[in-house]
Amino acid sequence: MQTVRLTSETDIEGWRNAARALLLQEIAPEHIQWRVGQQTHGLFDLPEDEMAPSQRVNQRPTHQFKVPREFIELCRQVILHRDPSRFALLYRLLWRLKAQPKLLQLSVDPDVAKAQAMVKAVRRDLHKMKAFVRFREIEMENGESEFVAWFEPSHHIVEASAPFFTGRFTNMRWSILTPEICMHWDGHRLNYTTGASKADAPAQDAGEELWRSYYRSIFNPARLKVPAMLAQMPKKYWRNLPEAPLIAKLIADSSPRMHGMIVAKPTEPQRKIVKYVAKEESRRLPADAGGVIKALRELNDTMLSSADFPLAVHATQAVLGQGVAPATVLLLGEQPQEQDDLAGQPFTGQAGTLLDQALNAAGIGRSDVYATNLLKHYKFKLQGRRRIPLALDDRDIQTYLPWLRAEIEIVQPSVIVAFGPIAARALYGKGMEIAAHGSKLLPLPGGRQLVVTIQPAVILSIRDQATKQLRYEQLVKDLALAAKAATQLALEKG
Amino acid sequence: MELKQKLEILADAAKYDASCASSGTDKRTSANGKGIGSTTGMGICHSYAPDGRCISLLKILLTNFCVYDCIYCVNRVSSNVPRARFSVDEVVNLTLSFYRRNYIEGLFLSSGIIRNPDYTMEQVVEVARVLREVHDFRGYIHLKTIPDASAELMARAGLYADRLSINVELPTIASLHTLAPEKDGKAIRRSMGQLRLKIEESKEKTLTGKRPPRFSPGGQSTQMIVGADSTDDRAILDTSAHLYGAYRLRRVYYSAFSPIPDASKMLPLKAPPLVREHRLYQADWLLRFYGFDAEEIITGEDGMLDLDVDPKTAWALQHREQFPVDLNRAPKAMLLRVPGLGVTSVARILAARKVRAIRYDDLTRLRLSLKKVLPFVVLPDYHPGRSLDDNHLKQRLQQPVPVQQFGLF
Repeated sequence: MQTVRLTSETDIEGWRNAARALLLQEIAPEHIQWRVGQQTHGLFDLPEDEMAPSQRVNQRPTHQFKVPREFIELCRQVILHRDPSRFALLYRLLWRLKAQPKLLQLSVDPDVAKAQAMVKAVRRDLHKMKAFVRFREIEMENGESEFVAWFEPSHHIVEASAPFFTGRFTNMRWSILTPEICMHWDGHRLNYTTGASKADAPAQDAGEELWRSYYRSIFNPARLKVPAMLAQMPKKYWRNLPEAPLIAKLIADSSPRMHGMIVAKPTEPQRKIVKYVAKEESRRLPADAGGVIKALRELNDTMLSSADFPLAVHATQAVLGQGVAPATVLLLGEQPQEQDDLAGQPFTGQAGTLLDQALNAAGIGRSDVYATNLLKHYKFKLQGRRRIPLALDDRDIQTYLPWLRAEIEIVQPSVIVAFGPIAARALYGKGMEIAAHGSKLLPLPGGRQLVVTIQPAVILSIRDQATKQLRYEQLVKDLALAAKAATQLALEKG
Repeated sequence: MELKQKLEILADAAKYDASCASSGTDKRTSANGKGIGSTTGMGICHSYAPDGRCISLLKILLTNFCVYDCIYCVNRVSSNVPRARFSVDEVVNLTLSFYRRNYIEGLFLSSGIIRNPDYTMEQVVEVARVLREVHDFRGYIHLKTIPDASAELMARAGLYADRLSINVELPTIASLHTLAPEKDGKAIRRSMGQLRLKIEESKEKTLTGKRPPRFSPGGQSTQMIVGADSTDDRAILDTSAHLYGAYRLRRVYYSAFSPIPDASKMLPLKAPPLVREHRLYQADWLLRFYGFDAEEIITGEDGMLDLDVDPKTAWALQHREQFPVDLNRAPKAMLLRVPGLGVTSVARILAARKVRAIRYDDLTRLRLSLKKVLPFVVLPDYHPGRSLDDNHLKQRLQQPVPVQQFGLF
């Protein structure tokens, strides 16, 4: 039997050095005893076999096997557990890893399961320490404050908690006292001293009274769930929590308090109630020759209040047309994209940026045109946590076409640019084919012209860069064609 | 009025908001700062009240004066509850002094609507500004956002806050209209849409490589009151699914409508439907982490979740033909549908079965409820036999409702 002495409960380096050497000598786990500090010898513990881990530091194994990184991580956590058998468990795992490199994936293995349970317990304890340490304030002679807490962790986690407390309370002087070790921070350096007792920490301070008031008031007596509280805040922590002495009375009073609220008679308001009326956003209209913008707004308000649009149920909002009115050019998309639905504006997002770029190249500003969609609501289906766009069908077109027609009548464009065949067919009729009719001026009733072109969103989805560039150039050409026709028509009219 | 009294009134007024999360934001410390505070990413609950709710943030209203008359709300204008208003400095100092004692992760500030939405929002944002800019406070800040507040105020709120939230309050716009006449369900959706765009924008690098301004790195959340109107669970989950999909919410909180002091005569009080609330949370988890659709989770013909067993067990009992599931062969999606198997257990099973076959004894070491799992799985040395055909299977799987242990105290 060999005995290894580690210098402290959390001596991970010592354990690693010893384990490395023992493994090299092929000493099986059952022949090793692990001890910490100056413990008294066990009955079969032969002193001559004892070696301090440091003696073995320089021994380099010749046929070293590679220890998985996750095992080192596991060791760092497990060693913080208070169970004295943890050192042996870790060595046994290391021993078995030699023959079973994938051992750590086997959560169902008794050794692995035990180590994982230890990791979980350590993490929980560390988490609860961060949660339940309660500082009390001591005024020092120079007028500054020092904050002192008493805490009783279940495992050897105090040093592991240090980065949390120094990172959070960097500019405070504080001490955390525990039975095993104390930790002190002066604003710059961390310092450890030996364990203390509860009496070394300050008693209550005045600041705690406000905290207790808060605790009492935030509790809802109508939803008593004591087991849920106990699961997260076990009683072992209560003795150091200033709010814990309130719990018994809060529980005892909760049922009468809830009952009191239920049976209480409604009261009449004792103050004069002035009904709140939201100030309408100033609906001042921009310069509006011929009342076009007003007419558009009235049309949209009428349509929005209609219950005939099933797509409105789950849409964020109706995406209304935008731009100048009257306008010579009307840009017509199929339906709002998801970004447009969120922003409440047509042609936003990447497709909108591409469109702006193309308009610019064609010598048209977005502010010179009126932009709208055939559908005013985003059509989608929910797939898990995504909204997937759905193609519009004939029924959607029939539903929204009256809205679009009325819009066109108000905006009075001379040229309409339709993005994609579906938008075009809604106006031109079913016979429209991009191959035959694309990039041409097509006559519409009322002396209007129609140009059918590719959708900016479709251009974005093209993978092949050369094709993408070609399609983009076509879009610019089509927009320029529309602009030119609009100028021509204006001259003819003029 | 004394600070203590204000705190009591304004904490009491804030407790009907279920959210207390301090998670999901970027990680930071005070190491290079002048003030205090840090965030760890995962959030910390510093205490628990006997209502089982975690206390992570100082959750208060700036004021409980309110011009709205939402009939489910303790702060409605027509209620006679005592009123109070904090000054900006009072909230700031309270937050800092609680934080120094390690009572809290930060502040969750909301407010009754005073004067108008923009004025109220401005006050709320000012508290956050002073905490961040004057005191270099680096703890967590959650601000309740007021729908349709100005874009400039919204941008400032997002700059200081770790999380923003707007409560949809009720599962349907129609219910909201009835119970909260001044609130505008469409404005709430519009604002959530704006928040999502801003949150996503803040995470993208611009073409010049410049970082866009910080905006609510912990995302947005919302809350729905359950049991104040007659909406069924099917409609509630459908609304949740759409909220998650449309606005990428971190969480939808369900808050069982609970008795309040000086309630409105239009809304009779009863004990809050806590079991229903619990089942909705379980169903919400199935939506987000277990690949269930909102539609299939509802198993009751009345559009309600089964109160007797958890929604996954209820689903499995209705789809017995899909069981037993072979733990050594079934795809991940099916393992996630086995009652009693959580996301972690499933990950462990998948990792382990690559190494060797999983047997009956192994299950005991996965720390799961064998009673729940066993009727639905098959292993090389275990078969549930005819237990899936048992008409009493549901009764056997029912968890007795925990009885309050008053004897403990």
